[in-house]
This record gives sequence, C-alpha cells and structure tokens, in this order.
Amino acid sequence: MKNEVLWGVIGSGGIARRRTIPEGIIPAKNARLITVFDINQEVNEAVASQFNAIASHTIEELLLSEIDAVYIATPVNMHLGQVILSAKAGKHIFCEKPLGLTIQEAEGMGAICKKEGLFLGTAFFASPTTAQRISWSYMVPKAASLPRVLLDRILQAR
Amino acid sequence: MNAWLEDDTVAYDPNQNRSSAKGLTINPNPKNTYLAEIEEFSNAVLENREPLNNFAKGLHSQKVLEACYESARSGIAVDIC
Repeated sequence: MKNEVLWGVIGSGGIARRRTIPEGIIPAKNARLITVFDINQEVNEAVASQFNAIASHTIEELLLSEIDAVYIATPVNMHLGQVILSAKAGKHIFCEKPLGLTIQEAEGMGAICKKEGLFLGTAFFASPTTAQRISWSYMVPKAASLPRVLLDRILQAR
Repeated sequence: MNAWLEDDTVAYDPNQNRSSAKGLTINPNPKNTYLAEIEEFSNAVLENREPLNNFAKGLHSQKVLEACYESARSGIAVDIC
C-alpha cells in the first residue's frame, strides 16, 4: 500500500516557505515535496533549491507532475481558479483559509471537488493538534475517532 | 501541558471550587501544528477518508466571516445557519 502523499505547492513564497514546507511537508513521514510554483519565478527557484524540489513555471506544469495533492497558499482571491484547475487535474487539495472571498466561492470549490471525487481540506493549522483531539475524546466519547467541532462551532457573530 | 476537565457526572458548582470536584488530567504530546495538519491530511488521502480539517469546517468558517461583515454593516447580531 502507498505510504506517502506526493505534494505540489501553489504559492511557494509566503507561509509555505516560512512554515508549512519546512515544519510540515518536509518532516512529515507520510508526505514528500515534489514541486513548487510561485508567481515570482525568482523566489520560486530559491524555494525549490532550498527544499530540493522541482520549480514549476506554471500551475499547469505543476499539475502535470506525478503529485497526489496540492497545497494552495496564495492570496484568497486566487483560490477559486486554482482549486478548479487542480480538481480538474485530479489532485486532492489542501487550501489555505479562508477558502474563498464569499460563501458562494467556497461552495463552488466544495462542489467541484465532490464531483471529481477529491478531498478538499482547509488549512486550519491549529485544529488537528494532539491536545485538541484528546480533549474532544473526553467531551465526545462516542465520536472519539472523528471529533466533531463542539469547541469551535460558532452560532452567532457580531 | 496539563488541562483540567470537569467530570460530566459533577453538577455545576456556582462557587467554581475545583478541589471539591473530580477532574481529569490530560498530558498530550506537544506537536508542531504545521506538521500535524500535513500528516492528518496526508493520512486522510492514504486512507481514503474525509480529513479532520475538511471542506465543511472551511465553509462554516466562511459563513462566520460573512456574518461578521453583515453584522458590521447592520449593527445587529447575525445568526449563522
């Protein structure tokens, strides 16, 4: 059985370079960084070199790589178009928060990923931590294996 | 790291007196949160199951955001469905 997910990164120059690649994708035993893309080619080349990855010159080129999933860390106004491209290429998508500019955009992302049979994750980096999972398991014993979010279910805002 | 959780068999204590009630101590292993989010999503793909940080959570967050903007415009609280 396959034991690692091959990753491409769209938007390699910001949080991806500072945190998610060096602290997440590189040390994760079940993940391997294959290729990166950024609109700033110079920065992208530097990130690729820094993490021993292939510098893709376009998103289309990145999506033609042998990758299973993409991590999207671009400005939010770019997310919808990049999610559509990635989903049509059959890649699972882990997208930075917020998913879109509007509810409608987010729903569009969910719809295309569902249609293509792909997982769409939202990069709430503080959410799946060990501490919270253990806390949830005490509060929701029956749902211990898949904790529902009792703690962060906001019902009203002002 | 220790967290104190009240046992659900203990009734509400208006004096918030911890020493009189039973509690649970948990000792989770500290973990880098960026590592945790990538490992969890990768495992979900490998196991063909929904990730914990799934689309539904992202959509709910989006609804909270939009409600905040709407509330700022209208000056009243907005319910999130």
